[in-house]
Amino acid sequence: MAVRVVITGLGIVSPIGVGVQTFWKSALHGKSGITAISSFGDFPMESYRSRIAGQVSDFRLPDPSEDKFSSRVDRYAQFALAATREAIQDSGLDLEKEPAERMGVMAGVGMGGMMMGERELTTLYQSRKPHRVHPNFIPTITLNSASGILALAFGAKGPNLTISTACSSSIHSIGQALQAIRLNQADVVIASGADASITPLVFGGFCSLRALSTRYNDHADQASRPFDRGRDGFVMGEGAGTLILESLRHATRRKAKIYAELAGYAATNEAYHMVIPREDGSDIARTVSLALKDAGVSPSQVDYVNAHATSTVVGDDVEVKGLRAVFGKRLNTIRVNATKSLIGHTLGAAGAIGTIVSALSIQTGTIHPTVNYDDPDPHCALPGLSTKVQKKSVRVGLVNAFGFGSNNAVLVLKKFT
Amino acid sequence: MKSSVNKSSQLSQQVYHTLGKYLQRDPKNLHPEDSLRDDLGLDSLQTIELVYEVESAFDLQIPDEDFGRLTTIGAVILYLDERTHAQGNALSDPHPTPSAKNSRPAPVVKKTKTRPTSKKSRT
Repeated sequence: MAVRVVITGLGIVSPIGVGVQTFWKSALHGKSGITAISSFGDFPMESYRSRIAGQVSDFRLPDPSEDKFSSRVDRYAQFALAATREAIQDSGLDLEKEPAERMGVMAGVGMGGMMMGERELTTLYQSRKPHRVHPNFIPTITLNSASGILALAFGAKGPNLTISTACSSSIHSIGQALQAIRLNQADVVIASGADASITPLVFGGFCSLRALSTRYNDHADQASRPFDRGRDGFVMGEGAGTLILESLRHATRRKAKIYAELAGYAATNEAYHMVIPREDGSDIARTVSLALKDAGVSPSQVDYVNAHATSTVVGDDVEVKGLRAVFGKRLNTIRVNATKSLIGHTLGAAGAIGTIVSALSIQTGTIHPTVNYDDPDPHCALPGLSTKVQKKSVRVGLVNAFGFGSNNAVLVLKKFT
Repeated sequence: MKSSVNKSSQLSQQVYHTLGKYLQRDPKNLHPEDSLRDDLGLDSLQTIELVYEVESAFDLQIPDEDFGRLTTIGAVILYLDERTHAQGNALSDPHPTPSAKNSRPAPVVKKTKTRPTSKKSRT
């Protein structure tokens, strides 16, 4: 029998709160973290089609006497450090007693250190002084700067990987953490996801891709509206989420609090298009089915889905098609919510934040509202989705994430019994 | 689409030149009725790239709301003709005044009944 893996610690940095308690309270109140971008320095904001984002406004760097690492890394890795510090504290792990070699790190990162990247690029091209490129530039922008700094900061000498699959990155990082524990490569894995790239170039790039909402620039809190007829693109966000995963044996031995069991994972590719999903949703359905099989549960046992639900016209449609192919009419009774309606799309952090939400829903029997679901789109009708808090005992939940590069990822969480 | 656009106008020629360059095809083989999707085989990302090239050539921004209109080469030419007229520029002037450069229609705030035709990305 496969090794069982459980979630024992959570940490989060989000546009609606730094820290799980603040985040969850805001989420249950349906608070929106989407606000206007005040400026990109000297850049004319009116030249950006979209001018809103899910921005983290209350993040403070820790005192250097407590954390000598944060000042050496880009904003996204600072978020990952803060979320992980909270998750480890929450888990009650005593790092001094844990064998370092049995603790791993899996980080999901979409864009990485673009803040320093853009700054150094601009400086170089303006100054034409290559000898003035900052010595910390390369260590900062390499995509594994977060997984590396997490290992240093928390003394994790086990498997250490960075997974970059755009918007599904951290579902894969959590999934790979599950696999590492199943393969007995580690007892504990820090599974994290982070991104903070609301920068002039990256934001401009998503604008040019015409992927972002543009219709609600003057009403930011209405812009992210998954499954609503008035949706017109996603809202970019930033943040981080970390989960502490352990083998059940390890968690039981130290009498850890258990939020939920991480029971299944599937990763597939549509081999279809770099940015457009296959329109019949068949590969999403295949991914969900594989994840359920991995978890050893049937579709009839699923009571909750944390949807990918970015608020793009086609993406939301296709996700529902995929879910309907697996669950049929029963989808009408499954509770669904869209965390991105509150915080926007945090890219590499999105899967980890969705998994944290799912773990909290399983633990508390509470499902946060999906805001702006004012005019349900009949093309992707979801009767189980509500603008109000739903009370529901969740036994099995799914977390979906789909990313550029034609890739799909699904996790299955179970109530721990 | 049977278009009434004049293929020989300066604006049309510039559109054909821009499209031919993007598509790596001789502009002579492009026609007003050519559908960007069905005849030229462009997917939504390629259509966005093509419009990006048109925006660059004509120094204007095309808002998402107008994207659904750009279905054929003729529709693109007619759209640009309207935009340049609306901006008070001569048809032949592909460079509108700076004040018109970033003009955007007033945003629609509440619910809409129409489904936008762009925004196909998965993200």
